[in-house]
Amino acid sequence: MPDRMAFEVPEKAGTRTLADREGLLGTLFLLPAFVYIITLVGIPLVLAITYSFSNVTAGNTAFDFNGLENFRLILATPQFRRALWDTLYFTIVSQIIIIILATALAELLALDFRGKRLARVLLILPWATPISLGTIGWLWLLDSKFSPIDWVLRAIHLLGPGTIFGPGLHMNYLGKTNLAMASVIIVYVWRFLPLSAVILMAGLTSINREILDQAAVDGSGFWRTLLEIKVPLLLPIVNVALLFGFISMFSDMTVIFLLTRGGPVYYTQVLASWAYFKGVEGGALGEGAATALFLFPVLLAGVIMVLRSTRRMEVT
Amino acid sequence: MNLLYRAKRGLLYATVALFCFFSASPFLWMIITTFKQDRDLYRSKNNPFLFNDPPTLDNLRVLFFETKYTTFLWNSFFVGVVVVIITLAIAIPAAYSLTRMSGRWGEQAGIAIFLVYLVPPTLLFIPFFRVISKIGLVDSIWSLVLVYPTISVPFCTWLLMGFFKSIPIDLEEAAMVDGYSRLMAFVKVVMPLSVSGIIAVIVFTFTLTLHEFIYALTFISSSAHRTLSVGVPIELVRGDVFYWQSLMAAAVIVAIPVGIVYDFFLDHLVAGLTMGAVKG
Amino acid sequence: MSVVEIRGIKKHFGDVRAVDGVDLSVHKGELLVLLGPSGCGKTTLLRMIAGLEQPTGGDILIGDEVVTNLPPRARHIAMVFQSYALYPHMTVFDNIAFPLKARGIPKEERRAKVENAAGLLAIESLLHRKPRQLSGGQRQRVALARAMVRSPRVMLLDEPLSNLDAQQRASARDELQQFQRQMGITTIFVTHDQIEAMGLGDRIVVMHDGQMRQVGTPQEVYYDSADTFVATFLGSPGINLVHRADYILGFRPEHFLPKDVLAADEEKCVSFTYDVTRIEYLGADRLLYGNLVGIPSDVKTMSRLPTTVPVTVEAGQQYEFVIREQDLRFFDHTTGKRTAPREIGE
Repeated sequence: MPDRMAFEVPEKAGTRTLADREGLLGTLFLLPAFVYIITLVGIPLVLAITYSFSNVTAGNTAFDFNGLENFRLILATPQFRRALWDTLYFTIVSQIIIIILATALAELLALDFRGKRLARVLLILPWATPISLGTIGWLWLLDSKFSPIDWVLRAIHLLGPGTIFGPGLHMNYLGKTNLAMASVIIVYVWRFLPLSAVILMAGLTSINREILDQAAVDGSGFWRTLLEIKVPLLLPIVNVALLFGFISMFSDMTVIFLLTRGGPVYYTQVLASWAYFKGVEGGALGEGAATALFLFPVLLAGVIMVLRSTRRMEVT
Repeated sequence: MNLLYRAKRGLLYATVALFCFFSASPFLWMIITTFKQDRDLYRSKNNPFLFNDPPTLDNLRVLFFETKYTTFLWNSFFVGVVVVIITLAIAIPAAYSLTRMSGRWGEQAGIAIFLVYLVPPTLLFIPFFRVISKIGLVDSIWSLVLVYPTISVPFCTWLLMGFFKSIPIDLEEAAMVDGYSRLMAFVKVVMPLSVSGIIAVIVFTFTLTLHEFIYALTFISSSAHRTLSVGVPIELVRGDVFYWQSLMAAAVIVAIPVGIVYDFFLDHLVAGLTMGAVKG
Repeated sequence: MSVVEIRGIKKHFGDVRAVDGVDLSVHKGELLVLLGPSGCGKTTLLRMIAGLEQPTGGDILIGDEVVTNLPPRARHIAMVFQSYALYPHMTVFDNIAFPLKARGIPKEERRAKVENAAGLLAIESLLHRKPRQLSGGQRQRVALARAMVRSPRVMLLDEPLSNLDAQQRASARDELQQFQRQMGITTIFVTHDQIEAMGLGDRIVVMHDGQMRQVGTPQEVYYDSADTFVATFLGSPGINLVHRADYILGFRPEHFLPKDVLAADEEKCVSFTYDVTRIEYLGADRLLYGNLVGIPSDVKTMSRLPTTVPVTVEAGQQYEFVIREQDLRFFDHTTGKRTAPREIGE
């Protein structure tokens, strides 16, 4: 018979203390985050809206409401209209390219091959690099005089006198409107492709293996499986990838600020960069805030999208 | 059959190589540029991919000893570390509270917090600019320390919620029965089991502070207080003269290590981004 | 002498009455089983005893001390969870030492106690492993070692066998009972498996819809079920219930046998004409499905006939089957409660 006394331990009298009270602890734990977010996101957000209806400037401390005056003013400028159009154009075109390439890339990375680890590092490098430093790299790559792309084009006789790209020795990528817009889109695709690809890859690997086997047994080939099984199952994840792509691209000013500074003239200006030039460099805070506020409807659409896709995920 | 297989593999490698080239070519260009002499670099007849003149380390010497690069590195590091500490201190308890202690509305509040993450700096930088000047933090890196957690706290709270949810609640209850309080059960059992989540939060937050551009550009005006993301492209260009070799060196020195670290924590970050819809 | 006493305990989650007024006392050294279908409130009751759930009303006493408002750590109890809840980041040794650490026991004493406990459960060789390297049975032993090492006043077990496969379960049940008897630890065991309950329990508490239906030894709850719920929940297959004009007649399938088998006995029997529709051969037993001729019913009446009884029965035939009167049970046709025996009119 084992000796129970061997296991006697002194009993400590315990009472309910603060550390036992779940409800109170829960509130205390949440409080700092709550206070922080209300003060540093909630209040500035309200301020942003207030500013857009006022004549506030960087130097002026006075603060008068002037109704829709800012909106009237900014809508009247061609720069703003161009910026609004470009923002939508850059975002939508890049996202379409990104989603197609990302699906292909995710499919590739789901396969096993030698050197996959290295390939993965190389592929996510643009995403890991600070966006401003990556853009500076592109600025040099697309330099008006020393672009190595020009050199390659000349070497294969596509650029220069008597060739299809023509008599000049330089393409001047950032100096011509169409080329500058294309350059911006390429930089965006380069920068945001890895993010979408890894999100889709995660989605792809989470698809139940048995469903794919079932499809194969049912006689479905590669394309049918891709389009009728994988893509529909991936849809909620595609939404997530699109959401992140849209929001980060839509509100980005770094690429434009460093690559083209809105040029040539103002043809590659976007809302975010225009808000900065107008509001901070130009000192018209009210007009800047009103410009930035035009991002809001799109963000709201994004929010609704994410709420809907989370609900769908709960259903499945 | 064998031929078909080889053809397929060939196609696979070719496609992967193409994607890799697209992603990595700017970095390749950066690395080549870093070691080039001026004479070699600025002659458009030269093959830009070869070293027509012998490679040089002089550009790195200039970068580290004749520019404020080390100051930027230090500023970025300092801001990053402080913001990581603040983020952990706020996000860990908040995430735990929302997963375990807040009942049914915890999930809703979690989604609300995630939505805050989607409010971009572009929308807030103008009011912040004014608030920062009001409280006298203009041109101080403390303004960045104050503001960066608005981006990192919501995301990291969400990320950690996923981690805490994956820990069986039995373990915490067992710890309470075994003699610990509610609080200590969290400290003794949940925290050690969430180490990888906490590391993911550290990586994410640190790189976020490293990447951020708008706030850093708006709030900081003197070169001594710049961080990397703004300091390098703004300050390393003197007037209209671009010191391309140093500039590229400055970018690539940051990019490659961050890329490798990212690769390690990719799965965790993706799990956070996909809101737990995909098991990481 | 009762170690745990429960007085009018209630737990409501919104409109759901998970536990709705339970009074119970647990004797020193006994193994008490809380048995019921899922959702009957047995786990909630156990969690309230552990202090993991705050009751809506009522009181819990452990060792004559009211613990209703005390946190789990102050109740001097141990619990083994369904998942065993072994801390995955700690070795087996650290797992077992964890409750001792929480009580601030010095390192040397801790080591001695852990080794002693490990010896009792024959897991000395596993002390440096991590939980994920253990089999299901080994995990149970570690969980038990962790539970007993602090010498709890009462040990609470929440379906600890349900994660094991059928073979492991039989041996784990045996080990568990031996261990409990040896140590004499007062134990409350929650399960939905009536075989486990019958095999392990000194006493069984049958619960349904948050209420206690019956408390008694396995024999009492089986042969003298307090109501139709208890009678049908216990036994596999459950009791046959035949609805008559103003009462319900109950008899267990193993008591419903061909006339020839029981005729040898001189006891008073009730007999029915039994129309056998289907026969299942289960090895040791034959399970007969059929109808009582002349008594309409939506459910089949069943008989469990040992294969050792030399009687041939074929599907599609009618036979005369009998039940000894002492094996008949009578229930009220509205409340389902057990009533006094009465005369059976054909």
